[in-house]
Amino acid sequence: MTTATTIEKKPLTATPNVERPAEAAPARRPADKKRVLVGFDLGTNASCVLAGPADGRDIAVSKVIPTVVGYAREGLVDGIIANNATTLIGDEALQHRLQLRMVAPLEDGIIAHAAAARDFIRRVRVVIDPSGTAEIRAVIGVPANAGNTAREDIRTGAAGVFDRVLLIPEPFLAALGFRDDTRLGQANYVDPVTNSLFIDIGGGTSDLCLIQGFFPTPEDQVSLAFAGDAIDKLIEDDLQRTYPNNGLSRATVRQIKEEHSYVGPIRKPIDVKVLIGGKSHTLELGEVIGRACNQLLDRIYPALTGLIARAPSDSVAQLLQNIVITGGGSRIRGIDTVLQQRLADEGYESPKVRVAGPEYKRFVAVGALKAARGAREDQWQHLLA
Amino acid sequence: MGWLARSGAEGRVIRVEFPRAGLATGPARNTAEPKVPAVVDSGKSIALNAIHHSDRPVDVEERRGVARLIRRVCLLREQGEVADAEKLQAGELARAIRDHRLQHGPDSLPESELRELYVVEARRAADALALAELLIPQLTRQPTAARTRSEAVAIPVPMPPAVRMPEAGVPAIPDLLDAMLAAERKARRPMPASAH
Ligand SMILES: Nc1ncnc2c1ncn2[C@@H]1O[C@H](COP(=O)(O)OP(=O)(O)OP(=O)(O)O)[C@@H](O)[C@H]1O
Repeated sequence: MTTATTIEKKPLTATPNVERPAEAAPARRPADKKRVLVGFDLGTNASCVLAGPADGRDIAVSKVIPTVVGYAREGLVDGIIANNATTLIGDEALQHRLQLRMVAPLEDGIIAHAAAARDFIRRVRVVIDPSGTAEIRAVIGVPANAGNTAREDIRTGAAGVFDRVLLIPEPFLAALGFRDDTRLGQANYVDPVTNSLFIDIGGGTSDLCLIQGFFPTPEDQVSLAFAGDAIDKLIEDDLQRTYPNNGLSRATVRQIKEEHSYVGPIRKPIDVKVLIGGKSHTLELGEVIGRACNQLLDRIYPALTGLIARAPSDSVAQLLQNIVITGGGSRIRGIDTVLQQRLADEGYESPKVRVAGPEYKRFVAVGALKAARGAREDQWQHLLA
Repeated sequence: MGWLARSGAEGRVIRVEFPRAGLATGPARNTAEPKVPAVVDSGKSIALNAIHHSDRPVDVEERRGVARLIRRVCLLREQGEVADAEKLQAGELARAIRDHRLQHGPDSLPESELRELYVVEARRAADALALAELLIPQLTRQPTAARTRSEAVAIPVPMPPAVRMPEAGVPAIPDLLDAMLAAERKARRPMPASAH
């Protein structure tokens, strides 16, 4: 089992995009400005932003935005990009990718390109508050094992863009977002914030985290460098062995995986149509896909039981009722039932494993907005630009 | 049961106590009984007479877990939170020791080893607090010297003392945030170089 280590990194000194400062810096705001609260999941591949007023439960903005910034290349002809914008983010940037130099501001959950991260956050602010006049308070999710430097980089990126921030570990926010507030207090409802185990299967890492009513410490988590990308690689290698030089790209392999992924006993046949050498072929991939996906389960299982063993004994019975799988890997067919069965077979008392469902991308931001609405005045941190 | 340990930083003598071996906090073991399944707190049903002996190599991670708990007990004692220290010692720590022995055999984690752990952890806790006492005033007097980044500064707003999580009921968001912020402040506390 790999216990999560703190993600520490050197302070970001290189600023690759300083030559293109963002053009949408918000104007200074008057004292009587409207207050907008924001839940912000700043993710490696995609970010989710929810915004609304401080009172009530309204959500005025709800967006999933690919975490990418595009800078116009030198000599770009006028009018190719709307309003001759020189910096775009998200889908807009992806649409114009041929005309732009694309930068992904985050790697492995933390900021890797400071200037691009700042440009990204500035434009997210424009989405939230086009007039640039509101006071913006944002709760931002950070990987639970992010070190001080990684946190400071987020604060730096948000300084001068948001007025106040609060950085909260992502698994904790996911649990808060997943919490069904209408059922709180019901005898048969176990609040995931109070007692749950979250398994977030992403692209690069699978992160398991014990959440028991407080801030998860590094010991409460396990981060495995085996997740969606590793499954793609296994399938790709397997296909390469059987069909050398098949020319299938990683993106195609990923697409095949996402369409047919499953865990548990090998299912056959799974016939998949592919183009190899310009000709259409049907490959039977039941075993290849099953073997690769089952490997994920084999890695996650010991980490899961290791964390269960860490939980205080009198919390375990309830904890076993609240194991939640989230992230893209939660879309693998059967992952909840097979994991649950394995726990039951090994003698764990009535385990219940659930998947977060198709809305998994939003839970962190939902939790962040709930935290923003619940935070006391003195808990917010000021940022000075 | 208890003994005396010397705190490294100030040569203070502190009394440390530890849970007795095989504290009856869990189901009683009865080796004479035939194989009886019983539920232990780790959530698994296991056969009690099958767990006295384990061929597995000693689980380093579990031992670390026990050491961490002992550290917390020592830290609480050092901070004067004796009741909490006792609660942790009689509850979670005792169960951890029990579970370890259930898993690896009754002779694992012998008393002598526990005693050593207590001495080491008591010293570390005392050192850490002594150093924090020395350094924190200096750091708060010269905030800019400790800062490495110039672009932005988070100004921590004075906060009320950390609120403990309620034992039962639904924790309110401000209480959760208080606990989180308190844990963050604690994590930022400097530790002595020897405390690894
Ligand atoms: N139906 C599916 N079956 C299997 N895998 C899937 C499915 N849908 C998405 N995935 C995989 O989930 C992964 C992406 O998950 P997610 O969006 O949670 O990642 P991320 O949060 O951006 O990554 P990371 O957590 O590593 O930063 C990819 O490997 C993707 O192929």
